[in-house]
Amino acid sequence: MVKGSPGGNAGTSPKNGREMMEKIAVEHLDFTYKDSGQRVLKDFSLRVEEGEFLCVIGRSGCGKSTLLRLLAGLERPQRGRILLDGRELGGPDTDRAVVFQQDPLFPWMTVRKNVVFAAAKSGRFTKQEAAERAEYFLEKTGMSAEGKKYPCQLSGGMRQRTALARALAMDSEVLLLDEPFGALDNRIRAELQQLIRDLWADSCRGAGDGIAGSAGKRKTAVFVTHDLEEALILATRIVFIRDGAVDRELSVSERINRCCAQSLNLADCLELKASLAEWFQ
Amino acid sequence: MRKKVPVSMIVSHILLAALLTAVFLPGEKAVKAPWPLLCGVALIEGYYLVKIIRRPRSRTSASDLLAIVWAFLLIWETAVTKLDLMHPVLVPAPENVFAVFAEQWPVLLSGVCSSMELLFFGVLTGLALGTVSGLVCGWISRLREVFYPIANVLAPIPSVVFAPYIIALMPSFRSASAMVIVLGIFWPAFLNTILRVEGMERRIIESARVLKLGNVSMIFEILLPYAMPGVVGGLKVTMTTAVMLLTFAEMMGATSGMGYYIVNYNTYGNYTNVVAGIIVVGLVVTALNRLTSWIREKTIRWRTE
Repeated sequence: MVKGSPGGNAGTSPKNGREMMEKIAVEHLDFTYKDSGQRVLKDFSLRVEEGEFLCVIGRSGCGKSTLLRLLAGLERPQRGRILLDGRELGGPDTDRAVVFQQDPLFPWMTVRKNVVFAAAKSGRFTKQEAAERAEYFLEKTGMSAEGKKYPCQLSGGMRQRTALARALAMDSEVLLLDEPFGALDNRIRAELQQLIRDLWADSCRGAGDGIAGSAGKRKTAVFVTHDLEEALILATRIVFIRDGAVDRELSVSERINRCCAQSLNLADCLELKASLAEWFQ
Repeated sequence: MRKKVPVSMIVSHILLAALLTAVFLPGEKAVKAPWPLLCGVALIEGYYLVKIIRRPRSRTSASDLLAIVWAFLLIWETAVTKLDLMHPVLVPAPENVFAVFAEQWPVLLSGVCSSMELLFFGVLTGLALGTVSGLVCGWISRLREVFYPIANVLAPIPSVVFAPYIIALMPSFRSASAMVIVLGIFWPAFLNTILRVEGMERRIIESARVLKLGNVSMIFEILLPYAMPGVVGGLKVTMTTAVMLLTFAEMMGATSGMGYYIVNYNTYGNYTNVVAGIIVVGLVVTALNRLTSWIREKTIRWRTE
């Protein structure tokens, strides 16, 4: 079922009951954009457990994308720190794979080359292994047949599939996704939501795919969205941000995920959505 | 359904018939045998036919262009050879000009090869140095802050202004010519590359940053391919600039090349050879433009136009 508490979090995974390690610790972050002087995050703290699929949700300008950029190492906070497995984060690194709302593909590389390049640059694989991983994840994301095409020849949905394949091929422990489906239509968005749930679930199960590097490591995902429905479909936990700080947290069961994904109008599902929507407004 | 024949196709072939008639009619001026001119006409017509067979849609535009070419040749032939209306020395007959192609083709070919050797060396060296320097300075902000203002002062100075000094410095006229071309190509390539790096899409920079690429990898695997459309797209202008610089440089003291050919015969008042040389330069520039278009097509397929 659903548990909710302001700032609280579950100590065990609602999915498999295993004791979880803390993967990411955000401690007392302050962040202000220098250009505008806008203070976006105020004494922001957050814990993300290993293997969680955390959705960060909030209205525009609440600081959720900024949080993701800080986690990715693309920005530096004025105060506070971010720890990954107990180590303080510096700049960007390949231990975190990022999928942006605007696709991160290099336009001069083909689909296949984009994915191989990212896997090779992760530093974890040989060229041969990188090529194998690229093939595997292109297959998983349904982009295998488009391998020779350039990004300009792809639709928005195809580009985001490739971006997902690229992120997964890196075999990073953490996936950071900043509204990756925001610019897509509802049908494509639903397909990609299902895809990412399946791929993340594979990593949680430690699916033995025989591909180099995929030794059953559980991936931790932080997914930024402004879409409550999307968060209910994907998340194991949802964090609501308001005015640069965590306003409340909510653990989400698989049952709720499935109900929302299949648009089943079950009573508890509807009740939850109504209460959250009321808060969200 | 039968396709309509463009009017310009009919007109152009009427003009061709008129030209051929004019060539064989007796005229006021004694000229050389018309066979090289007729070979030239046959080549032009052959090129036209190949073009419209390969690309039927270009029939109208190709026919329009052909009509202009035939009209020009007809006017030239009529005014000079048939009616002897033009200055006898300054405006040579088309038969005599085309005869130069037939008689002096080894010399012309040698001149073209000499010029092209210098041209490609100068363009490739200038582009390579300018682009790589531009990438490094564009990426490393401290270098940009130092060199961009310097480039803004030096770049507008035409490299031909340096030519007399370069000739004094360099061991030979040929190396001096090469240096003039390199300088003339380097500065625009340098500045344009810096601007291109500065204007790089943020999402591409961040996409590269999250892969934690080092500076060398960033410059040669990300910035260089990103900058290539700008470099390749500007090749036509680059080549035109290079040809101008080359011709000027060759006129200053070279002993081979097309520029030398033209200025040499100009010195002796042999305007038949001068005109022939000018036509050859025009054909070479046209060929270079086609080459740059082909390069552009092949190297930046990933760009949407």
